[in-house]
Amino acid sequence: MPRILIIDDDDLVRYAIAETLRRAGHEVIECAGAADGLRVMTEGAPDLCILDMIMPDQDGLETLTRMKGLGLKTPVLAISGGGRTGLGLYLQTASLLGAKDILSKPFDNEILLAKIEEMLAR
Amino acid sequence: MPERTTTQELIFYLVIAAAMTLVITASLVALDAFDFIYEYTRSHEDMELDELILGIAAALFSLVAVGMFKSVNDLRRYREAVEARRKLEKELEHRQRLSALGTLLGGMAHSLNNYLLPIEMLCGLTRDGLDTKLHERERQHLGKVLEATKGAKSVVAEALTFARADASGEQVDLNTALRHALVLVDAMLPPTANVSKAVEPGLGVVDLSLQQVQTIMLLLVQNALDAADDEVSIEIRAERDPKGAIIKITDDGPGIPLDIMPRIFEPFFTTKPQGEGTGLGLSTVYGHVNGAGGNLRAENVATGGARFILWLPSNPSPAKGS
Repeated sequence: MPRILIIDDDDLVRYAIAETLRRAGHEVIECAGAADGLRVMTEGAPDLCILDMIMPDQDGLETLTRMKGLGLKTPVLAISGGGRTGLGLYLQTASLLGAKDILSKPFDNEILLAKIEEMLAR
Repeated sequence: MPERTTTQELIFYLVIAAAMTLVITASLVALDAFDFIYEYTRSHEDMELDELILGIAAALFSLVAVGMFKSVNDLRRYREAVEARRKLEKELEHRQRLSALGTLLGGMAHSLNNYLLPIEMLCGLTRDGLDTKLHERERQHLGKVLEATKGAKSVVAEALTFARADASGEQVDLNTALRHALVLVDAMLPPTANVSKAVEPGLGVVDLSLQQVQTIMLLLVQNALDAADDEVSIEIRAERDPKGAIIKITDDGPGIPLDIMPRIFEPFFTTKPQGEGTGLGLSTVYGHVNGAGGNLRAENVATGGARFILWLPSNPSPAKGS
């Protein structure tokens, strides 16, 4: 069973994604902050990480940079709900920093699951 | 407070000049100045009094005339400079307000997206988990919730178009894009509408996608259609500019009321009855044009009707033609 880590500070968003993934048969680990997420990834590499770009403690771009520094190879799906210049800029930069794929919020179950399956199959 | 016109200003100075003449004349009379001049010229027989007086009068008149002409001219130039500055300040204030609105909307869109995501995902999840026979009605209800969520998503996405000042990252040859866009414009116009088009070649490559150019043209033409009746005449002109391209869309509708002119590019601002317009059309155009480094403005034409003028910076097309 694939283990998927979700890092998002928004409880409702995390809950919705987690429920969708659990229903689809995935094992889910939830983290509300980047520091927690990095700890989980260091302790035991999940198969995939869904990473929010705008978070209060440490944003997604910084997390991606730290992952690189720590040598963490977990494939990342970067997600973002935008902001003034956020959506395009954040997600494009996330790709440059090593995110394997990007998805802009809001997305529906089918889109998310299709993206996850595609990433896991790579 | 109404300002004085240049003519009123001229009359004002003439009155001042007349008053000064009276004062100077009275002073000269009081000092017996004429006797002094008479005595002076008597003792210098070679000078003629008449010519001296006429000469002085002519010199005074010329000085006053030149001075007044200069004053009026300076005043006009000063007025123009003040007016230009006032316009610039107004434009700056307008841009600052739109920019602040963009920031506000960007933040709102981010929060709304974070709310819409769980609504959409959990509704979908719940609906798919319900038995199709036992809970058909509930499934239908959730289907409606999902439909409404999609509507809300599209409004947020459109508002974000305005909020984002970053370019799309795409480029398109403006002539090619306009050709495609004008096909769509023709398709959307009622047969009673009268459209004239003039597109200069060599408009260059702009920082917009083909879809963005199509959206801009469709929204501006739709705006003209909304403002006027079906027999509207629309003129679309695209011209080269030293640093880019200018597109002008002019209609012969009622024009834009001056009181709403400063607000027409604000998101959600609409003059249509509630439920008939989102008020996002012109703000979307503004967002695209701004993102491409250009600017958009509107004006009323003297003959009636409104004109939207958009300027886009462009680079020469690498390929010849189009």
